[in-house]
Amino acid sequence: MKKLITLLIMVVLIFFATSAHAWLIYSKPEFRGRIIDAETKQPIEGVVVVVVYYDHTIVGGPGGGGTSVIKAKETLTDKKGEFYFPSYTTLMGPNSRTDDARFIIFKLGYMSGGHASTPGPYSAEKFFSTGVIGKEGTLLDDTFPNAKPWKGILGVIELEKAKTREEKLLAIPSPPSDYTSKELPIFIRIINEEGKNLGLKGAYK
Amino acid sequence: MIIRFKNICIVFVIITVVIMFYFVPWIMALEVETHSAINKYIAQSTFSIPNGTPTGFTLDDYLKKQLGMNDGKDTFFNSKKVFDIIGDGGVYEDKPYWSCPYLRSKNHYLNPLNDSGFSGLWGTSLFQGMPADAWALSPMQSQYCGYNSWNDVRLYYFLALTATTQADHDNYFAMTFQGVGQIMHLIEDMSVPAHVRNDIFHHQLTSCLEV
Repeated sequence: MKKLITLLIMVVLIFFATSAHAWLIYSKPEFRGRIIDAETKQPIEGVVVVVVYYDHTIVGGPGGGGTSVIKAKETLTDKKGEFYFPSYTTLMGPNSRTDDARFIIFKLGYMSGGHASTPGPYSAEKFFSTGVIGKEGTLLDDTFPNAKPWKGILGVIELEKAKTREEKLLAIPSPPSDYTSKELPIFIRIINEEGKNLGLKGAYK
Repeated sequence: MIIRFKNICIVFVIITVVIMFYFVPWIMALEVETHSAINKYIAQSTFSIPNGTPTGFTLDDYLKKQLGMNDGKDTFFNSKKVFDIIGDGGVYEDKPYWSCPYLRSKNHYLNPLNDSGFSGLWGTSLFQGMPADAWALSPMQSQYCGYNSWNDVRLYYFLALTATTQADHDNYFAMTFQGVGQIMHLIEDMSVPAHVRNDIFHHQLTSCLEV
């Protein structure tokens, strides 16, 4: 019976291993980047940067699989406007594979997110993991290899100033669903502070 | 070791189930995070015209002018903004946090030519679902994995408006906006070819479908 169980486990392993890049092990490289003012091109200190690590269900039923947040970390930029996240490795469930890490970037008085010249949220992982900051580079799209490669300055995000109240309200990013100040204390404090500045009555937990 | 016929049968059945499970046909559907992003975008939109004057319906405007919520789309209920709750609804329609994920998803299909829903796995009636429009308009408290049909949401809205305590008011409004987000999810699914023609698609066996 032991042999049969071993055989069964091997069959399961083969099926799942072929469907995932790294089954059971979730691993992401270190991320580095620099945040600058879009107008002055000067580095911005104290920008809160949140990295959100996602996994993806392998088999999810007739609606297809989906992504889930497995971890979120936060940090602030230093005097050079630079941030750093060490590499992250953890275990995943057997019905999961790795998905892209995504980033939330916010500073009071600025528009959040990125700039039109950055490659967008789904390539942000590559954008910040080349180990290069401020030099021109090319990024390829893994999902659609025939897509035109992105070319631009790697690892640098330009933030534009938010001028009106409406722009400032729109700039406040939402925390990942079900994440509170327990997991992301700096981020939640800062977005609540901006909400209070703009006269909002409630606050994120 | 004597390999008994019974053991062979057991292994055969298990392997068959594993293979069938693995080869459950997948479709190229919208990610739950995409549903959330679309919902939030719509909830935050002002639909302004080039000269900057808002036109048509906006949730923000409606909440401020019709319901007296001064913070509009940024009003907090249970420590979340209205547009966040609507975004969460986009996620919960596929992955309700209180039950098995994707059980509701089989009701997210509608073929407009014959008003049929998901016909079931492998061409059988196994795991068959209701047409999406019938699912969205289900009678109150008749859905499973949460009650979030249009009729349920109308009830939550009524209960929110007539609540006598702040806690009930906030809870029912949160349920209303989450339910609206879940119904928006169904409408968004209708933009996916696979969802409107009962077209199952296995992207692990063939090349990725680019829509």
